[in-house]
Amino acid sequence: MSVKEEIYNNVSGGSSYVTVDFANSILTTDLSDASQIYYISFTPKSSAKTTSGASLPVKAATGLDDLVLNGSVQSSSNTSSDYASINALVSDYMYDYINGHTGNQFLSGVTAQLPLDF
Amino acid sequence: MAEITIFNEEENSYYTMTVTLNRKSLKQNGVAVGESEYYLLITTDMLDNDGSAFNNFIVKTLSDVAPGETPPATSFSDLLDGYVNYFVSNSATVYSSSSSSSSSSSSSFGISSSSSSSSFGISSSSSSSSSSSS
Repeated sequence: MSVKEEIYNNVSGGSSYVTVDFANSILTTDLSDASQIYYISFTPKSSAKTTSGASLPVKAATGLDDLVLNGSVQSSSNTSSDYASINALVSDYMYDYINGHTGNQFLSGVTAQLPLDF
Repeated sequence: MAEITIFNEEENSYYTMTVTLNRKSLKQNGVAVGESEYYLLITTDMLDNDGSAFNNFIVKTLSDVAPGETPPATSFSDLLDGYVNYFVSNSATVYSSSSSSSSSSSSSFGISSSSSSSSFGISSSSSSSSSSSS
């Protein structure tokens, strides 16, 4: 069973959503261990775009230490702290889709992502 | 949703452990939790060693490990490996097959898993247990 997280913009009146699910697959991000990994998946609405017109990425969180480093309430700059709960992790990932983040925000190697366009 | 199939070679039977992501307001252990929150619900169709159904487990953090496991788990994979081990080692299947034999017997389990969005046949592992009854 998946959960559809609705996003609403009260300025434009626009809305979108991200489907949050729990799954297990072999992730190409870590082929050093070609076994199935359990993760929480985030899949934006297929037509959702960033403010530059790019598609929003699908994301996979394999544990509570899988921080998105976006500067929201949880783990904003404290990169040594894990999320306290699954709830906090999902909240932070949702914030990241809505707000985006700059490149190398709080940690080097982080790719910039523009905010969700409504 | 992730679904883990557990194969009992001795009985040639299959069991399932299901993990679903939910967001609901909870009443947990008799105590109401007011706000809606995310959690994993872990269920199985295996039977406990007394023949009853296993409890369902709610996971909100990686410290919500299976009974007997040391918290916290290092990842979702580590966490769920612990639940598989708990269900298999405490299932009625293991105990019934062992006690019915007058000599040592072994039970072999193969574990595979799939998710609702995709399935793979690559990963599998097995564990074995043996016991003898007097």
